[in-house]
Amino acid sequence: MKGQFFIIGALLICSLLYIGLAPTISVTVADSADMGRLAENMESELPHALNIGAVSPGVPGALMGFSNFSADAAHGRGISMKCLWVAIEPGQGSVNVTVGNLMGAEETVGIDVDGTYMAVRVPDGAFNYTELPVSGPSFTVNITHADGGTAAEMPSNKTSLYAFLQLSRGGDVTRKEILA
Amino acid sequence: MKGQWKTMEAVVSGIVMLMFVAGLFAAHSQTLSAPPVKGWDALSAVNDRGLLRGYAQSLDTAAIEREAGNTGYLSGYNYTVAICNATSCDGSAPSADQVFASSFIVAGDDSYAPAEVILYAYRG
Repeated sequence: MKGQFFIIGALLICSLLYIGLAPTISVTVADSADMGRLAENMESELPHALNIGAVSPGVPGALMGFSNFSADAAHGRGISMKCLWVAIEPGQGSVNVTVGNLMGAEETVGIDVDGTYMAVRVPDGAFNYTELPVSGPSFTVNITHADGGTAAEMPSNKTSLYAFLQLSRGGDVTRKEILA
Repeated sequence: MKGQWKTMEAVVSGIVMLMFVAGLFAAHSQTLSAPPVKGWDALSAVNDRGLLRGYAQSLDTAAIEREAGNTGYLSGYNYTVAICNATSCDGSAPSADQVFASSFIVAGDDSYAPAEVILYAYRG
C-alpha cells in the first residue's frame, strides 16, 4: 500500500509541475527547407559583402568575416556550413587572387588564369593569395578544388567572386557554387 | 516479499519522476518540412524591395515588422523581429507555445555590417 502511495504521489507531483511549468516552455519550430533558402541567401549576400567591404575592412576581411558570421548563424539553426571562396581583383597587368577557406580542413585550390597555373594552399579558417598575369579586357580562369570548381571568362577591370558552399544537417546536404 | 514490492513501487515512482523531468527539460525545438507560416518568404520579400539591409543596419526592428506584415505572408499570426550582429541581439523570441523562426542574413547596407534578421511568428 505504501509503495502505491509513492507512485500516486509521484504522478501528483508531476501533474502539478506540468501545470505550473508547461506554459513557460515554448517550442521553436525551424523550417527544414531552410538549407536551400540559406544557400540562396548566401548567393545574394556574399557578393554584396565583397562590394561593400572592399575598402573597409578589405576583401579578405569582409569575406572571411561574413563567412564566419554566416556559419555561426547557420550553426544556431543546426546547419553545418562550409565555405570556400576565391576573390579576383584587378591589378596592373595582373590579377590578385585571394582564396579563403572555411571547409574544416586545409585546402589546395588550383587557379589557372589564361594558362598560368598556381596551386594555392590554404589552412582551414585562413586565407592566402597569389598574383597572376593577364592581358586584354578579359581573362579565362579555371578554379579547381577537392569538391568541384568552375571555368569562366571574367573582366579584367572588376573584382569577381567564386564561392563553394556546402550546407548539411543530419544526412541532408546542399551544395551551391556562386559566381559573381 | 512485501518489502520487495514496496521497493519496486518506489523505484517505479522514481523512474516516472526522472522520465518526466528529462522530458520537460529536453531540447524543445523541432523541424517541420512545411511550417504553416511563411516567415522566410516575408523577409525575402522585404529584402527584394531593397529595404531589409538598411533597416537591419540601423537596428530598426519595428520597420522590418511593419514591412514583413505588409507582405501578406504572415496573416493569422503574431510576429516579432530580432536583429543580431556579432556581439548582441536587438529583440528576442516571444513566449508562446509554438514559435516559428525564420532568419535572413545580411552583409550590411552601404557599409560592412553583418547581421541576422530573425522573424518569430506565433499564434495567441
